[in-house]
Amino acid sequence: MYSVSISLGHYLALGAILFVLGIFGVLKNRHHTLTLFMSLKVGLLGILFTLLAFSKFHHHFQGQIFSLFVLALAGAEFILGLILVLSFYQNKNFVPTEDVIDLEK
Amino acid sequence: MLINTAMFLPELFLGVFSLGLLFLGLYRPGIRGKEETSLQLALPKGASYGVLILLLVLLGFLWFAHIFQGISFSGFLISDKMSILSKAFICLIGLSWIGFDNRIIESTLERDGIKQFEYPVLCLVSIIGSFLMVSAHHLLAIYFGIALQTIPLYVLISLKKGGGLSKESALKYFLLGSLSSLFLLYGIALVYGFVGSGDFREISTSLEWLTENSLGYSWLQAGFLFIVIGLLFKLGLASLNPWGPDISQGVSNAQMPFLLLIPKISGAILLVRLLFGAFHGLHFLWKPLLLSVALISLVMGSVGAFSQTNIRRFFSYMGLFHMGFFLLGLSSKEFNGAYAGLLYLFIFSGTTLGFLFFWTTLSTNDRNLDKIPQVKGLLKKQPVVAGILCLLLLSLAGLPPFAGFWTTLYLMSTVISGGSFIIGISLASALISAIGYLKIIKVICFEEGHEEIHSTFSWTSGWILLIPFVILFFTAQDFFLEIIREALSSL
Repeated sequence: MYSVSISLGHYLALGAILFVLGIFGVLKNRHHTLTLFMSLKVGLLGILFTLLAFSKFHHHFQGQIFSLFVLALAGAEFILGLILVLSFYQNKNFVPTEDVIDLEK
Repeated sequence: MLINTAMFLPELFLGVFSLGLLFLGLYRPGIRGKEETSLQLALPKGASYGVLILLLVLLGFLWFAHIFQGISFSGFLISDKMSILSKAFICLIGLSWIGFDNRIIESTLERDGIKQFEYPVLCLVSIIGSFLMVSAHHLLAIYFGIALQTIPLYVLISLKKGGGLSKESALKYFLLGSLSSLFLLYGIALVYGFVGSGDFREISTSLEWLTENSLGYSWLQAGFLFIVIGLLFKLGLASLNPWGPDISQGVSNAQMPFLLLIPKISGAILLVRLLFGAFHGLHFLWKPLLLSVALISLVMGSVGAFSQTNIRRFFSYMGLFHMGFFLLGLSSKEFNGAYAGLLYLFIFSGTTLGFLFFWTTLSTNDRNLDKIPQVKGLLKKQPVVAGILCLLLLSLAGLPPFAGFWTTLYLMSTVISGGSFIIGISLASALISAIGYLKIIKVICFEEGHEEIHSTFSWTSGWILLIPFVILFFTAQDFFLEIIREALSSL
């Protein structure tokens, strides 16, 4: 039997993978605004994971407090983003996608 | 605790004042139907100088905070000469645009259909966020400041009526803003993890004893690069922000300083504090990065602005160009470059502010002016406004008797050791941008137009706040440079 202990490196790798997935999702997947939102959320999750792992590693609470504040602020920001999508929908009757940019080039 | 409070009295005062305005707007009966904002209700009746009083109170508090300098809130925030200087500047810009003269700014806002009483409250909260940004002394404080500054801006941008353009720009601003905070936060997480603290002093001391072979040094560098890239995103620089001009096209003329000037000034001060304070040990890393970003923004900004007809798109591209020059100053080898960059930033944002102010007073057929060709023949129709606009444009273009020339010259003299490639690109782009500005003068003075243009500008109202700017741009430059030098050396 192998005994596998989960170290800081594993947590950091998971955080980095989630963050890269989030960024990649934003850059690659512009068909729908809500998918963009989900990708941003995945990236944020990776960041929170990293912060919490470091907090456990250093044995102090700073990282946990960081992550709580970041969670609260990012939550407020995303709610505002959803409201913006809703107001866009009321004006134009569809959710914006990449190819509806009607601003003058 | 008492000293902590005294140091951050301006922020506390603004916070309480904006909450009071919000309650006043919400609970005063009948306010929703009326066409007056809560700021007008809160200030003395018929006082077009009401905000001037608010500004003087704030400047007084800033002077008071100047006595107690230092680090407070357990290393979270700092109050030094740099933060107080930039706070005073942000105060002047921000408060003069909430509506210091009820007729000029408010009538511009009304023409764009912005009548909500929340408008001044959102502006004030955004100003508090910028204050936190310029006095941040902890990695988390950076994120707090940026969030507090941009979250009200998302709402402010989406307020303009008609066509859904503003909704689209707000959505784009939101997407870019949250993407850049993602980069910033990941960098913060990495730096926190490998240093063990977010305090700027501890970061700089730990960078002194860390070497190439230390554990996690490359991760620390990666985290630092993520932070800088996130901040450059926020500043809207070089190909990191492809939607910048689109965003500023969708807003009202009267909101331009809140979108273009205040975030850039506070972000630039934060960048200086980070690069020269906390991360000065990594200068071999950030100097080439900033130099390349600066050169790309110089070229993109000046060439992009050249053929624009929409005034807001034009100034968005020109903002890119001017920030490129600022970064060029920061990335030069000497410490002098940072002075020159900051002087350039202050003078050019002040001049742009003056131009936008006089542009905002103009209207035709009860609509705000959007396009540059709409001001054809302004010299004959509104000679005073046209004259001032031309003077400010000459200063922006960098022609000799004006402040713009001397600051550009000073900046170029600090980067002259960089080599002929850098000098060539920056001179060529400065020339292209100067032609771009002079083209507007040509439209104002030498072309014939038939539409009637009205101006709400008058000598009796609203001119008081322009005095400091005029002094700043045409005279006391040495004095101003001395203040910036002192502020920089206090970092």
